[in-house]
Amino acid sequence: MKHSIIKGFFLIVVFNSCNKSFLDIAPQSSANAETFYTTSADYSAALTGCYATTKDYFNILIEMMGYRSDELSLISPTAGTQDRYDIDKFVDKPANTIITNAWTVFYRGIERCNEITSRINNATFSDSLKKRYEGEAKFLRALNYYYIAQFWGNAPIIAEPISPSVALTIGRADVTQVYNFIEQDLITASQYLPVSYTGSDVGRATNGAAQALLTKVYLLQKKYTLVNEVLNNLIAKNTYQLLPTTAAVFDANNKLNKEVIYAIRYNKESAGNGHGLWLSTTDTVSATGISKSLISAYSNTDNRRNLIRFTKQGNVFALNKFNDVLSTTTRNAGNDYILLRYADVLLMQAEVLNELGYAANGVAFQSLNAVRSRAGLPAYTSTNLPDQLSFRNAVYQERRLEFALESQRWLDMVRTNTAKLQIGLNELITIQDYQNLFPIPSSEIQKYNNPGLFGQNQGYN
Amino acid sequence: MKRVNKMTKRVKGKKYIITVCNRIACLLLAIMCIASVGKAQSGNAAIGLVKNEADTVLPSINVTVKNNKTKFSATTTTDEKGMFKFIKLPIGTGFTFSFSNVNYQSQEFTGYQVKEGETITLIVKMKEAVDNLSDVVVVGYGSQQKNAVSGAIGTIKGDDILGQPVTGFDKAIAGKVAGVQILQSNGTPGTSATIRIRGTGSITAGNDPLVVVDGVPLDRLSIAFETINQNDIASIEVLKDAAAAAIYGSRGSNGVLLITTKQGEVGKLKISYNAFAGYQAVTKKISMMDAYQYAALSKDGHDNAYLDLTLGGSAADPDNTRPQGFMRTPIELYPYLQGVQGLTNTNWQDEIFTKAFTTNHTLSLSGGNQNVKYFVSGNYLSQEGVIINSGYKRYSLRTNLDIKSNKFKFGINFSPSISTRKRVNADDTYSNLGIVASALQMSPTWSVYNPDGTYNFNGNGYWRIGTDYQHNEILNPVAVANLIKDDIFNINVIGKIYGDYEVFKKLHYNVSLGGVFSSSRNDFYRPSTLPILGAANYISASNPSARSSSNLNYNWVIEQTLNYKNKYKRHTFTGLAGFTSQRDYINSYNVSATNFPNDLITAVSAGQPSGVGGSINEWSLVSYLLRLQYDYAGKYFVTASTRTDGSSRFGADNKWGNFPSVSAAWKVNNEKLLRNITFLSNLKLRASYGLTGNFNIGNYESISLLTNANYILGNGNGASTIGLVTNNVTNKNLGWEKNYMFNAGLDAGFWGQKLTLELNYYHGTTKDLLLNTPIPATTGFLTARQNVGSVVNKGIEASVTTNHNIGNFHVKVNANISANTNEVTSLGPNNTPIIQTAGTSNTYFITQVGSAIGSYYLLNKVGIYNTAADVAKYPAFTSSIAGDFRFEDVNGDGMLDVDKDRKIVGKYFPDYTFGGNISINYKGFDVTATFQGSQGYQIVNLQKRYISNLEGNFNNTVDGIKRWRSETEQGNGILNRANRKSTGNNGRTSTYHVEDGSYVRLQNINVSYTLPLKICSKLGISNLKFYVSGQNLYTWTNYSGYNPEVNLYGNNDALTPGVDYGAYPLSKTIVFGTNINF
Repeated sequence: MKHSIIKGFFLIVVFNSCNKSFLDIAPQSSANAETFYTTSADYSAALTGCYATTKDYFNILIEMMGYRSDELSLISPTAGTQDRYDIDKFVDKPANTIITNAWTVFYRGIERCNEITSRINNATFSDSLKKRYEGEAKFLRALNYYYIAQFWGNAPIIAEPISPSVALTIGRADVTQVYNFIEQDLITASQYLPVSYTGSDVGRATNGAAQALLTKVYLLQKKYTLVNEVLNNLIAKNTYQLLPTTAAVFDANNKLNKEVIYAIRYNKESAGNGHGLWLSTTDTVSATGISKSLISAYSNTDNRRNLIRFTKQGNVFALNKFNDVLSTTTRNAGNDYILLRYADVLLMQAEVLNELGYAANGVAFQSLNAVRSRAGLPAYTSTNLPDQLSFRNAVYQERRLEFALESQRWLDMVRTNTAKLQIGLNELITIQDYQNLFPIPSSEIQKYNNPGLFGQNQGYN
Repeated sequence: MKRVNKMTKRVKGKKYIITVCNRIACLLLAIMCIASVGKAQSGNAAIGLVKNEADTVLPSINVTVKNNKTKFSATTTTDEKGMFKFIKLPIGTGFTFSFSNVNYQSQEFTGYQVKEGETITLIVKMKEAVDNLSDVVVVGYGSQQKNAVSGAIGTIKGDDILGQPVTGFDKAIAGKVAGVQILQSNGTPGTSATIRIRGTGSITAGNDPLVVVDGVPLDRLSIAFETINQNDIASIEVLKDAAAAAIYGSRGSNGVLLITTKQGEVGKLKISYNAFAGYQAVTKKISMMDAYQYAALSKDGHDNAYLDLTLGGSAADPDNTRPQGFMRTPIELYPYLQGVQGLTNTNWQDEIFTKAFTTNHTLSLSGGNQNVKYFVSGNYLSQEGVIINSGYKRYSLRTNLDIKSNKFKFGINFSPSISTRKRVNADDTYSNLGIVASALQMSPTWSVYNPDGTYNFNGNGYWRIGTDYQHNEILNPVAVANLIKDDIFNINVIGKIYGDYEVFKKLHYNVSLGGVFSSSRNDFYRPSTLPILGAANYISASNPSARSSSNLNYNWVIEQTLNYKNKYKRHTFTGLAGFTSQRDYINSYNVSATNFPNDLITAVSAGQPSGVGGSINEWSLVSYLLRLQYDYAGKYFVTASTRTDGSSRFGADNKWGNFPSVSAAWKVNNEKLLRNITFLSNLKLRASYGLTGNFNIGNYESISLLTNANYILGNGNGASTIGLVTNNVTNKNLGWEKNYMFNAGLDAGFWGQKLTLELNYYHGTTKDLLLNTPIPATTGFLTARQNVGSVVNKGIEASVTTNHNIGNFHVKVNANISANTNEVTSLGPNNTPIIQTAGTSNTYFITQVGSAIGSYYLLNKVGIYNTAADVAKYPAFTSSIAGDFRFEDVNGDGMLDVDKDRKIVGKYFPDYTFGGNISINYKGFDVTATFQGSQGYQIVNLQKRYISNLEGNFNNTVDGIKRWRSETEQGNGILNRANRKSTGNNGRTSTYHVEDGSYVRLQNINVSYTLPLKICSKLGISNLKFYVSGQNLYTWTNYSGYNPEVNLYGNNDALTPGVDYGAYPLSKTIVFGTNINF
């Protein structure tokens, strides 16, 4: 009888002694951040995760730039498109879920990049690979900040993973600081990244991509000398070239062609890696959301005009620019979304040379005409464009036609300070200057509850 | 059950005829009678023996003999041997003997004759009273006499839930215990209800009570639901306050349900068969427009959309002059508008709802002797669904065995079950192929089938192709229900072995090993014959897709306890010390496949794999428990307990927690002063205070986990490359949610417990809420699990029971009511309100200090702009025009703004809930009715976004004909103007979509007849009962949807409760049943 008591307590003691390990249960089916980030494969997977964020870009960019600008317009909202309608019609609400989602996606992307940049110096694999990974992460981080800065202006600069309590102490930095931060990342990236990749690495950020993005960041700050410097360097490498037609650039069977500098990648046959046929419609009466002003901006001989028309595919009408034969398996399309391409480089070169000093029929003319003649349009000469202003406007107009629905137009309008004018003219909507920026999501402002540190953009209070 | 309430009949001399009794006892009685009666007096007498059902003799039973004719009356009580006697009774006929005691059901035997020189002999078995103060109440890790209980515990006896035609005990206990809310938010066959004890204390860490079955704590209510046949339940105890629940420590804060299954009783083999069969039908159909009314609405909507956007337009303008598709009316609607008779006019609700059969059979065998007791049962349950192609079947077995050998006791409980479920997707929006929502919204102008017998899919975008009339695509719900295969197969085993050894006198060592094993498999197949939703795929064959998922779960618990009980004079001490450890493991995987060559073989193996997934989840819990109870003279009771829990779920720096409690009771009526107040049979005051916890969060939430995020890389089209990204922030300090609860209570009984009353007041504060707090997006995440904030739940509970005999009628009435208020008292560092959306992006819920969790935070519709003058007069949106909703200008700035003019407009927590039960017994007839209800809460009926939107793109409820049509035809003043392009934010979620959910439900009515014993004994059976039972027969409510208890998202997220966006409706059931005992 005493025996059993002793046995009983013995059991208790045995269990006690193994308590420590009994309660330490590590997840078996998912890796955890404490033990991850050691091998180069770990960093490579983490980096893939940074790229994965960009798959969310299309929806954000098309809503916040396509509809915002004079490229797309919505006649009237349905229950599900109210937020899009509000963006389109400049009825700006800080609670707009599209804007809220965009803010979230960009900072999510930044967090993923920070996990890499903050740790990679302590990693133990080869320096060259470490540098490349760092370069890729910094390019992607810069890409997120590039949109953040232009959409919202002043913004928190987050350079490493932070806890919620720390996050509440980091306010909105001045937008010039944000641009400085982007420039530093892109300079590092352009130093660390290779000119090209082979095999399964194709599609990663290259030195060219970093330079092209850096150019855009300099350009929007009107740092023309720097723009010219980087552009010359980029063009001199001769990595990229114009394809014979713009349509060819978007051919879903010729992805990552010589004109593409950086694109978001899709594959329609891979579950979760395709997308719906972008901007397709089933209606032939009121067929499109394409703005009338955009359609009428093309001359009849402009072969790019066909790209914003529709072609019937099954029960739907696909936009020619983003046309792709749907996968029979996933019912998805798989076009890449091109963010940077060589035509952009040429038009930026035309723009910057003109800003540095108009030169009749100079290099700027050659660059501009390279894009024009591909579209089947006659070349400009100093007769058509006799001065800096007319040349500047011609470049702006060419950008509109060349990059229709490529999420450039709105940023160009803001950059060139012409949004108010063009939206008034083309969309017949009167907007205010403060609407060059979007409101900060109200849900974020509520979280900080500290207007001094993290306040709303002017005009949206 | 033997109903032994019979007695010997009077006979001549000393020879007794004994109808029903234990022979040994009779022999004993005979000897005693000879001894005692012989000495005293022979003749003109009555003697007897009173025992309980377990054949133990009962002292202190009041015995009265009366003769109504002669007004003779005499009273005595039974002695220590259970004996009583009356001598010198007057000779005559018409004597009645009655037996009563507080703890037993009173009995009466009539029609006795007293003859000279003869002795009447009675042997009486007393049945325990329904409200028995010496009843044993199961408490955590032990049991207590009801008398001594000082916490707040509700008890439901197994007999109280028998005969209800429900699939689980959970639904059967609705309305039975104050403070316990049983929410049937969904009528899917084979799903458990939601159980809430004393409100919602936690915001995000789960509010389900812990369910303990025969001492085995279950992680999930669904397992209890699956394995427990309600016929096997002996009792359910609900531990409501912290003092009662604290012995379950970190899992006690939502209350605890202790389920005890039946054990064998000493006696010969008893065989019992219970069965019912009957039909179910949906409780309600919503009155929708027919095809003609719908066509008129649709045309009106398109016309108004045209007129609003066209200067100088006229409703008479032909469609081909209108620039946009949505301004035009589909050509197929014109015959309806012209009133052509005999056109397709489908009532889609009639097509998806069906009358459904249900049946339930239980056979049990029980019995035993002093050393071995057994209870074995088998159950078959089948419930067809009231939606076509859905249903549930369950087979279960139970073996409970208890063996005693001197100081050693051991036993086993073992209960395996198998269930199969055919599912249909009823709880979802039309866009996710929700069948109920689709049936309501689908145009009645489409037929279910084409003339060739195939399904008609015109609703899937016929009106979007070519000309986009902007009628939303809806898949034929009959096709969705019938074509998609979605089957679940489930195996559950719950069991326990235990041993108990009396180490010293009064000190027991008990060890048990319990566990649950469960495994389920789901096979889903979507055939090519069902198109993908959307005009792009209209009637095209789809690529078939299939999914198979499977999981394996085991959970074991080892418990060791030492129990000590001793009595020293008037002091009684009870002590419990224990150590337990528990571990849970779930391993699940899923495979999906596409590209099936045809629809003949639906197993995933027939297609090409398109995805795999899986996870392993574990948690562990180690606990030490201690409880001391002290009782002085049956008057003063004190209990103190503590439990220390360590859990794997919490942060490395915060794994352990202590959960102490103390409670006391004073049995006032046992004080000398009150002893003479005979009508007061019980008066007890109780008070308790304690701390419980909540550990219901994910298993690894303190650790930053990685999740897959793939991306395409590589030449050409590239290939998917696995990426890994962080999924949450790390929180090493993540710890328990703590619930501090005070409870004060009063139990009173009058007139021998004929009237009893139970009152409780409680005040519970939940601190360190495990909250998914919104965090700045700059962290990379939107929310993080943190311990912040607090919530107070306080309320009162009252329960009254009466027990009366009126002639041959026995009437028992119980009524209970509970009122609970829920208030958030703090939230994180800045008390920043948590605003969330659910269902749609503009259906806002606010959780803020001073309000109930998840209050509805919306625009407040105050009327209609009946005229253009109204629009000018009142604050309005820029897009508002006459016929639109008029909203309250909450901030009073003279303008309407969708964000600035929101306010709290409702909550899901009822002001009070109540239940009532009345049972009337007359001879063999029993009638029982149970009511329950909730008052003072609201539902966000998002279905109205579609079926009351007056846009003409979905079918609408029939009251839509009372819509605003013009300044002179203003309709019912509630409904707006038809318009496909609704203006003025009519479609935005507002109080238009919020409805009062208050209801009273006739939960159950049961009419039964028990055959008289005489007939039974001739048939060789001990008891036979027939009954008719109806469940959910009627609900009184103003709620316009199917079910006012609906809660589509709230069971998973307390922050977004009370949404109706399509749900499997409840069914009413009528069954015929029988209960036979041998």
